[in-house]
Amino acid sequence: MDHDKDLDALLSKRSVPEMRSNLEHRIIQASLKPAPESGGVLKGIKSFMDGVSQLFVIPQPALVMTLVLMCGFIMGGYSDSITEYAGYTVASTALDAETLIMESDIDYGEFL
Amino acid sequence: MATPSKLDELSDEELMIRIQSSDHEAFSLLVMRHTKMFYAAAYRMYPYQDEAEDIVQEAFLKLWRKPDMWKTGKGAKFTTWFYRVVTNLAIDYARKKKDSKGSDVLDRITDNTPDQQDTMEGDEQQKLLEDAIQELPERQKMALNLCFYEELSNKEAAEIMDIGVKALESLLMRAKSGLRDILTRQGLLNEEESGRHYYGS
Repeated sequence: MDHDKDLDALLSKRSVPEMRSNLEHRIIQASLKPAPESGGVLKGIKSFMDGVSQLFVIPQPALVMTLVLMCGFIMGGYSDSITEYAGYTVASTALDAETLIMESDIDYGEFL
Repeated sequence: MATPSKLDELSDEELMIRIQSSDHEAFSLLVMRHTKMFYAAAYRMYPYQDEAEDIVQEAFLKLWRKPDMWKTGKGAKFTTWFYRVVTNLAIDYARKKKDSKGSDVLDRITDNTPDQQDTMEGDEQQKLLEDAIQELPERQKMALNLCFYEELSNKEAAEIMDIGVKALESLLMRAKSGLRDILTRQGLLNEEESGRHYYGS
């Protein structure tokens, strides 16, 4: 059809400017570089939070828990009495402290 | 591993299989083989020289970094698949930059034309023609580019656009009809003589 031929002839006049001669090399060079990190600000915040949470990670939770429990039991065994330590009287609970003060008052009274 | 001369003999699809095993030489060869062709395809979808180059570069880098995007099992031809990657990227570019650049396609085209008196008329025609094609809806423009300029078969173009052949033919027909109207309005096609002659021929 003439109508189409004329349109086609006109369309075939469309041209594309030459690309720069080094485009292929530019692509090859770019492919050798590592891929850039994407994600922007959100990714930055996430990685910061990950870093902070890493500080609180317990490497062997079962072992740590066992040690904490053992310490607790050992300390607990000595907590309900007044103990002598290096020449000082030590009160380990509020109740013990009160007893100690009362004893001290009695001592002072007798002394005075 | 194949020597460079042997690599030359490999098809695009065979090179893609090698690229999937991180063979950079195969990738380089594929780039050397097809950059020019895909640059033209990108430019026709988005007629800005710098951006068209960026589109091709981005498409090839995507291919290198994620070669598994190309599925070997489906028997897909590399060029058919890569046309889709490039044209989709070009459409993305066009959509993103539509607001900032508007439709001043003509200003860009002037940068690449020789400044000679006898080519002035041709340049003007070129600008009007490009403007007319860019006025077409996205899908019609894509159909026209793939079938008319890239000289792909209707079946291949339909596959790239993920539509049926009949739908593609319909898009092509509407694209040509729309273009005829625009070009007649612009004075490139002679209205009185039913498009049998065009301006400047």
